[in-house]
Amino acid sequence: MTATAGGVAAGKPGSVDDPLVRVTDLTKRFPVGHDTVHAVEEVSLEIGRAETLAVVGESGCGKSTLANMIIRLLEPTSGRIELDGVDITDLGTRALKPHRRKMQIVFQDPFASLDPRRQVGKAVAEPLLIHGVAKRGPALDERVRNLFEVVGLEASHVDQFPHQFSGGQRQRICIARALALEPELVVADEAVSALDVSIQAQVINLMMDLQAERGLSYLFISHDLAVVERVSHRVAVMYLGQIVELGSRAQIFENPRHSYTKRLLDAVPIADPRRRRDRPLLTGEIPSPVWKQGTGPDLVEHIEIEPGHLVAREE
Amino acid sequence: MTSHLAGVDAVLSVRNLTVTFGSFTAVDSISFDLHPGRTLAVVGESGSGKSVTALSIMRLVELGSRGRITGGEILFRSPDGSVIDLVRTEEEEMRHIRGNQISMIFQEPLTSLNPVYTVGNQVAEAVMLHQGLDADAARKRAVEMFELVRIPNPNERLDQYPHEMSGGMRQRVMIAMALSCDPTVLIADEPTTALDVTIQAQILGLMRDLQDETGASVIMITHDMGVVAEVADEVVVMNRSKVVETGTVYEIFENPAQEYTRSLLAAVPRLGSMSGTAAPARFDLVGVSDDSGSAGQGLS
Repeated sequence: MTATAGGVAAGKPGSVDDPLVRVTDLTKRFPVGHDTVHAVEEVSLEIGRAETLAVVGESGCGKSTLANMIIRLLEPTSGRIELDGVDITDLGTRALKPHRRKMQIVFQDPFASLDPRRQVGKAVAEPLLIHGVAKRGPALDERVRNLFEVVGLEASHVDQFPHQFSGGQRQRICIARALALEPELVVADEAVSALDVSIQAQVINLMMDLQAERGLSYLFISHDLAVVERVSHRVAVMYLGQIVELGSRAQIFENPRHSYTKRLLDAVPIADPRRRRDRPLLTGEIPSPVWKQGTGPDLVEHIEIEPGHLVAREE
Repeated sequence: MTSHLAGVDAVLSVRNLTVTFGSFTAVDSISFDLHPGRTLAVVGESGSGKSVTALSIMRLVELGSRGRITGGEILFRSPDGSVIDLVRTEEEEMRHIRGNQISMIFQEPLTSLNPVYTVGNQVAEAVMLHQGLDADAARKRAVEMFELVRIPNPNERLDQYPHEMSGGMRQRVMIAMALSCDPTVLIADEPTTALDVTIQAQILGLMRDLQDETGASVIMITHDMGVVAEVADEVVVMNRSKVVETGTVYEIFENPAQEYTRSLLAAVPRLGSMSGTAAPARFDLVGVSDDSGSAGQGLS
């Protein structure tokens, strides 16, 4: 069987064939005074090749912390991260460098992630120089111009500054920069959340085209379930640092089983006035992930209810 | 100057309103009516002029920023039946109208609340100022308002500071404050944009119930077509400082007359639109001007 996106292997529950990324029991805790924030608790997941795995959840559920650990921007408290079959969890800066090339990230705010005093072409060229892939000169310039065209910008824009671009254009520049090193994994951390809907749709289309052309894998972090339904092959739902449900896009959206997944889906406003619903006037809020020393959350136990569909057991 | 409201039952009628910032026209001769007990959504993308419209109705656009209302009128019917043009109302009288007859809630409740006073203090201040209640009566009113917006344990909550509350609770406090003087018109500028989706659902549901209970007319400023579909009776679509289209929520969603409205709706991701398909799918965009082509058009 070829490594098709979302193809579920027979072995471990929820695993994919020949995954690009395999995360095992990844945990991150932050001390706050005498207490501890349990940001991510023993999360295990895999990302297939040319696959988009979306991680959804509300503020503070740990989705960005998880993504930052996977690309080694944040040191995990415990757990393992494998990229392309190599355990990169404990690699030092130098040993990690060749692996870093394979994973790039695009952040939410394209204004904050571009240096305002630097021509955008230089921002896109920088990773190529840092990794010694190219030297300054006409060949590099040509390569940067090509990248601009790949993301739908004009090659002549390379000499301009970030403030001369709209938000959507800036996000395209950030995507060009992420693509410069021809990565295998791109983490998109709320990468389209700050964009107006028409621009958001265009950037999402671009990301899908790039995936089809280059076989990219995406780790797509988002709070927006309607966008996630559009872009993802598989979906992990996070709640208080743990995955409560994981499955194919169809499994999560058409057959949600965990009460929290259902609650999230029910809350999404539907762009159809005839489907307006009466909402229960709940005042419920998500409990705190801060625990006193020596205490902590109960770890969820996952049940595989059908191949590839994991659900946390509920009382 | 006309001072009767032609569309007789409107509580607020914006007519040919134009607002400029220097040489830039942020709102270009727009008109719409708000009817009693109804929710009018003003929807548009960044820079369309929707928030400037809201600030103009409050006559806040000239305060602290260099906005100027250069044309048109904003006719407002007071509870006593008299009609005034807010554009030509003196600041001193506006201070009686603002927060009292027309009140507003903003996107970010944390920046709208004073961090060094308890939330109860701030709600009480509004009613002491506008309704002349003494401190005890004001506190009683604040408790009532907290009960109205379904804040659990209102008596204890009154004594909390804003930072001790979650985003959803803070927005409830803002709504309590905005409704404390029984306003005729409530303007909500992206009230749920900063909130998580489950909290957003609670706040939208609350606002709808409160409208039934208080009879207030609501102007909802939003970029989110999903929110529009959930709450609006009438819709005003804005783009580049102009009103593109006005209609009932059903007309706008089911039979949009304008190309721009159609393109906006086509770009909205809809939950459930992908059911039965295995792979992700591109958006089928209609007539959207591509942002990729021309550089140097950023407004900043």
